[in-house]
Amino acid sequence: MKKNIRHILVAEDDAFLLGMIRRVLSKHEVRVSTARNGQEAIDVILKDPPDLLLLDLLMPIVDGYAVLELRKKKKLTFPVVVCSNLSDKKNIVKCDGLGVNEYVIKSDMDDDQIWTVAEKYL
Amino acid sequence: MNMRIAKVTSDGTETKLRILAKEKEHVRRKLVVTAEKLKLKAKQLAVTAKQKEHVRRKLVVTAEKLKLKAKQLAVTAKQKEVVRRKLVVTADELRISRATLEKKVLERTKDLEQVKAKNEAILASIGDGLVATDTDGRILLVNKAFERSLGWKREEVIGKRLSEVIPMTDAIGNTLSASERLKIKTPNGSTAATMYYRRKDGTSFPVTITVAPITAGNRLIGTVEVFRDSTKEKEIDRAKSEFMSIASHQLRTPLTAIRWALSSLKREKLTDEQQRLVVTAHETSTNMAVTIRRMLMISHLEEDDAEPELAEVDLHDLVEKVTRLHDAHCRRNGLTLIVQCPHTLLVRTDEQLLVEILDNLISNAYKYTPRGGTVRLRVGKKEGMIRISVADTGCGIPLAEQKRIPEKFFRASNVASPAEAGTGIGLYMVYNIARVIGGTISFVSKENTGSTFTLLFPS
Repeated sequence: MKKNIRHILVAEDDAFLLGMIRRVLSKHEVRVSTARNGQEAIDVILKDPPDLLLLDLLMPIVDGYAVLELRKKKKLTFPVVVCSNLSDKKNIVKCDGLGVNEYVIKSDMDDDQIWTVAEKYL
Repeated sequence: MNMRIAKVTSDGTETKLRILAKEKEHVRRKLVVTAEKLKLKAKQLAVTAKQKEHVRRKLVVTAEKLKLKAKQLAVTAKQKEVVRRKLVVTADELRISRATLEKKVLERTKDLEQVKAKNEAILASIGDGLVATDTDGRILLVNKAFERSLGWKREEVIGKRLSEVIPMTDAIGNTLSASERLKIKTPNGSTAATMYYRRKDGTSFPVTITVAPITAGNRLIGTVEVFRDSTKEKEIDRAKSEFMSIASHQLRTPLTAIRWALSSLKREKLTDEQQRLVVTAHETSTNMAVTIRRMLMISHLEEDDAEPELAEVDLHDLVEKVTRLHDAHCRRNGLTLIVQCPHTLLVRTDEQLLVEILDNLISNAYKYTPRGGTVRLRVGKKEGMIRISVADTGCGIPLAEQKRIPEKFFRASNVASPAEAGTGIGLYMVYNIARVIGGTISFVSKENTGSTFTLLFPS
């Protein structure tokens, strides 16, 4: 494992979308980890902290908020981009309060735009 | 001879004669005295007669006068009699009139009582609370719904100030002062934001209020306020928002898969036919995502708590960001975009809402301008106001339809072709967003020449 290769953790419960994101990111010089739910994301964070977290909010077992709470509690500083299809103010404000760097709506972007967003934080 | 005879006759006779003469002289003298007396008497009598004649004449004159007077009195008496008779007739008539009038007054009073009872019944039956106040804000009248919804009895509140009896609070429980209460009214008389009324028991409920002035002639004599408990509406609003949120999420999840797959396919090597299909499908999915976003935004804007999130925004950067989003559209339609915007023009506004407005206006300009046309975007600041105009050389809006532009789902009749399909919510949204950021939208348009939409908002 090269040291300068950045590590991106993608937490997304939809297998198809997760695959698409992985495909887009993998075209670039980054290491991609995936998690299918909040718990898996927490496990990865604790074991192998990422340089960037792409996080869905609605996920089984524990949701994205639990992941954000953990990051806050552990005073972890890696940037987080929330990729959700929820766009109500309530969620956006809550994420803001939990130190989220950017909030994007998945359906309002194309697959390759994921990289445009991620690149800013690497 | 005779004298000698007499002398002769006798000296006695002479003496006798002398005595006789003397007596006669005496009688004569007496007669003279009497004559004198008589003469005096006659004179007196003449004077008296003269006086009497004078008196008589006077009496005649007086009699004449009296006669005249009597005649006049007779005439007056006759006239008085006529008047008296007339008065008798008039009095009779008056008696009849009075009786009729009394009857009419009774009937009218009965009518008025019926109307009053009817009005009171109407007021009592109004489902909404009603309260009329004088110019001092003191309560003149309330209806049953007022008593029912606020827990106060009519007799407890009449004459008291409305603002003291019924405190109005905002969404976070702050009580509004009487002057603040007046300020929350919009020009059409209804409240802009959700306000709450506090009941006698201290509990509160959301109200929708409509206020109208009461004028007598040109003078304002008070106001009448109608309010409705909007608890149910708030619940419905909340349910609607929740539904919109869930529905949009459920629609967006599969749409993301479709959009991403098509966007990924677009980058693959495809035959021309395949490329055309994929590009069209991708564009459609993109439009669908935009529609969902706009519907959510409209749902949010239609809720009365839409408030702008103010932040410092650089208009030059923002314009560049928005125009870049539409670069592909511009190139594809063979259009020219000319942007005139000063460098580093900072304003304090809601960036996201401003982006939505510009996004819509630019997207419309591109959509409705034929190949080879020009779209001009001008940004300027004047007297504390920012003016952004988007002018195109497109198909324009028919004059007869221009009034309907701000309506939801309105689409001009000259853009009905499927290639320019739209939902008719874009401009509706633009008007609503402009309102939220304290701005206005105006436009000039000429069919087959072009349209210019201008946003004016405080900096």
